[in-house]
Amino acid sequence: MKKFISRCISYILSTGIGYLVFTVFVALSTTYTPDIESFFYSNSTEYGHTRERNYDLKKWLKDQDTPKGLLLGSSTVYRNIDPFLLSNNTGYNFFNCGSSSQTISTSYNLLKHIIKYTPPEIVVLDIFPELWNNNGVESALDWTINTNKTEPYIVDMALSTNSLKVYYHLSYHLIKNMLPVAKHYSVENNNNCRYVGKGFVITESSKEHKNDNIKTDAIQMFDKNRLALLAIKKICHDNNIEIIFLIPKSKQPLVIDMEVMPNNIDLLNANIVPVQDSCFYDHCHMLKCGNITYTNWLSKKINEQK
Amino acid sequence: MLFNSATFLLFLPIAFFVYWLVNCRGVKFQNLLLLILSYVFYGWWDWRFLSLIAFSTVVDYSAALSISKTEKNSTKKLWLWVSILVNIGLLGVFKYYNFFITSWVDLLSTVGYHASSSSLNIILPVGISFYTFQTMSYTIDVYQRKINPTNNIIAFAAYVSFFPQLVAGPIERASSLLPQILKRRKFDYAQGVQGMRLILWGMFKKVVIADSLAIYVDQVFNQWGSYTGTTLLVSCIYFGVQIYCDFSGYSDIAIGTAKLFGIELRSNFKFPYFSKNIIEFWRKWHISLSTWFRDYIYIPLGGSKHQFGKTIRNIFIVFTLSGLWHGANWTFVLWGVVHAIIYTITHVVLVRKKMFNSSSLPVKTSGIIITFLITNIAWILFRSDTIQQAYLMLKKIFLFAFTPLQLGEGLIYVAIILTLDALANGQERDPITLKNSILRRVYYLILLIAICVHWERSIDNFIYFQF
Repeated sequence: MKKFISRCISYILSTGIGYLVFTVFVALSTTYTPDIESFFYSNSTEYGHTRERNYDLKKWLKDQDTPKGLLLGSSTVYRNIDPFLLSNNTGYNFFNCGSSSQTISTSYNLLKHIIKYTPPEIVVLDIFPELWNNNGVESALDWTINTNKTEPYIVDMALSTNSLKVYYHLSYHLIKNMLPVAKHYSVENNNNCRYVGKGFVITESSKEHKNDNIKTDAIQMFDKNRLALLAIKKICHDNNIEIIFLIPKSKQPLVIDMEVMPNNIDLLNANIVPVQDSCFYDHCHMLKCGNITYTNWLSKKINEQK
Repeated sequence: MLFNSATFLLFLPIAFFVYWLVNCRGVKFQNLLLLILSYVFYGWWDWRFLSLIAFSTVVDYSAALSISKTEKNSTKKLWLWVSILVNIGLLGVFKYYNFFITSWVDLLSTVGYHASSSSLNIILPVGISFYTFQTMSYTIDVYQRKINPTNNIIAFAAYVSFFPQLVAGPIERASSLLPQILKRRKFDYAQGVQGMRLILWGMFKKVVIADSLAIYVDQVFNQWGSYTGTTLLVSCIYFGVQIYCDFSGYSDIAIGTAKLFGIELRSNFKFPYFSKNIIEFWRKWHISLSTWFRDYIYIPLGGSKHQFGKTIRNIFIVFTLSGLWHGANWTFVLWGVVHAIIYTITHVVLVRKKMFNSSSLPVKTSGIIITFLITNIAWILFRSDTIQQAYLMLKKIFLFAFTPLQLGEGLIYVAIILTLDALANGQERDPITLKNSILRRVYYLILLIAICVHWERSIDNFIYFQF
C-alpha cells in the first residue's frame, strides 16, 4: 500500500510538472501562431465581446464621479438593454456587465468583485428563466478566457462551476497571463453585431429571423442559483443598493414555476413590454428597434423607483 | 453519482482510504463499509431507489436460504418463483408498465376498439435491469445447487449493491463475486496499478471518444432527413463506436475501481468489433448479459442440443428478450429479432454447413469487415425513436449510399479507438502498457489532457444507464 501511494504521488507530481511544461509551451507558442492554443483550448472569441467588456469594465470601475448603475445577466442583457440610453434617461452611469449564458451564480461573483470598488446605487439583475438550471460553465469559461489578468473573482467564478473543463482553462490562463510575451488572439465571427461600449453589443439587422428551439417546459432552478439570488439580495441590502430582479422580454415567454423562486424576491416581468416580433432576431435577442423600446420601458421603471 | 463527475473523483479516493484503513478490523467491517459506500453511491441519484434494492436484496437472501433449508422440491420451486416474480415484477412495473399499456391500447385501436390508457409517471430506477438479474442469478444458482447460500446478510447486500458494477454492470455471478466478498481482501500493488490504468482508459473512451461521437450522432439522428445516405451509414458506425466506448468505458472504470478495492470483476467486452462473425461478436459484446441469457434461458430451453427447429426457437427467444431488456420500445425488440436472424444464418453457414471456416487472412479480414458493418447498421434500430424512422433511414442508406459524406470529422475518433484496440493485442485488462517509465508518464499525460479538453462536451450520462 505504501508503495502504491508513493507511486501515485510520484505520478501526480510528474503529471503536474508535465502539465506545467505543456501549458507554458502552448502559451509561448501564441507568439508565433494561434493554432496550437486553439487545438488544445477554447479560443477567445468575439461572440460575446467579453474581452472588450472586461477592458471597459475596468475603466468604468475607476470612475468615481457619477452615481453608477449596473446591469447583470446574460445575452438578454448585453444585447437588449442599451446602457447609453438608460444612463441618459435615468442619470446613472450604467454599465452592461453580461456574458453569454451568464447565470445568477456568475452574476453574484461579478457583483462581489464590483462592489469592492465604488458600489453602484442600483443593480438590475436579469434572471432569464432558461438559465435557472444552467451550471454556469459557458459564462465562467467566457470570463476566464477573455481576460488579460486572471483576478481572484474569476478564480472564484471558475471554481464554483465544479467543472473540470473550466479548471483546465483556468489553470492555462493563470499561467499564460503571467507570461508577458504570450499573445491573445480572438476568433472573428460574423454575427452582424458590433460592440459599442459600456458592455453593450448591438445587432443592426439580421439576414434571417431564426426560429430556434425554445424550451417550453416549466423551469426548475438549481440550488446554486437560488442561493446566489438570495445572496445578491442580501449584499444589495447590506450596501444600500437598489435591486431590480428582471424577467427579460422574450418572444415566447416560458412557463415559470413560481414555487422555485424564493419567497421574498419581487420580480419585474418585462414580458409586458410591447416589443414587436420583427424587432427580435431570435426568440430572446433584439435588434436596435427592440433595444430602444425595451430600454425606455426599463428607464421608466427605474425612475419610478427613485 | 456518475463516474465522470467531480463528486465521484472526490468520493473514490476517500472511499479507498477509509476502506483500507478498516481492513485491519476484519472482513465484517470491510463489508459493512462497502455496503455503506455502495448505498451512498447509489442513493446519490435518488435516495428513494435504495428501498427497491434493499427489498430485492431481502427477498433473494430469504428465498435462497429457504431453498437450501427445505428438502421438498415443490417448496424449493416455490421460493425460486417468488424470487423470479419479485425481480421480474419490479422490472415490469418500473420499466415496462407504460410500454405494455401503450402497446396494448395501440393494438386494440387497430381492431377498432378504443381503450383509454392510464400511464404512470414512473421514474426508472438507475441500474434496475442489472441488479435484478444479478440477484435472480444467485437464487437460480442456489436452486440448481451450483452454490451454497450465504447467511451473511451484510456480505450478500454488499454483493448485490457493490457500487462499481451496480448501475451498468458487469452483471456478476454470485459464484465469482460472493466468495471474494466473504473473504478478507488484502491490498495488492499490481492489482491497484492495473485498476488505476483501467479507470484512466475507461474515462478516455467515455469522455473523449464516446462523448465526441455523440455530438455527430445526435445531430444526424435528430435531423436525419437533412443528411445523405453515406452520412447516415457513417453515423451508424459513429453510434456503434459511441455505444461501444460508452459502455466498455464504463465497464473498464467499474472493473478498475473494483480492483482498487481488491475485487476482480469479469470482463464485459473483448474487442467485439474485431469479431469474424456474429457468433463471435456475441461472445465478446456485453459478455455478462449474453452469458446470463445463455445460462438461464438458452441452455434450460435446450440450447442447440435438440433438433434444429428448437435451436432456432431458442435463439429467437433469447435475442428477443435481450432486445426487450435493453429498452421498453419495439425498436429494441426488432433489433433483437434482427440479430436473431443474422445469428441463425451464421449458425447454419458456419456451424451446420461448415462453410467459410478457413483461417486464411482474406477470409478473416472480410469476416471482420462484414460483421463490423452488419452490427453497426443494426444499431440504427437501437438508436432510432421509432421503427418507421429506422426503416426510412435504412432505405435512404441502401438507395443513396454513394452520396457525399457530411460530418466526416468524426472518423478520426473511430480510427483512434480501433487502432488503439488493435494495438492492445488482446490485452483488454491492461490497455496501457509501455515499458519505458517516461514514455508511460507522457502517455498518461496525453490521455489526461485529452480528457480535460473533451470534458463536458455534451453527454453526462452513460448510455446504458437508461437500461
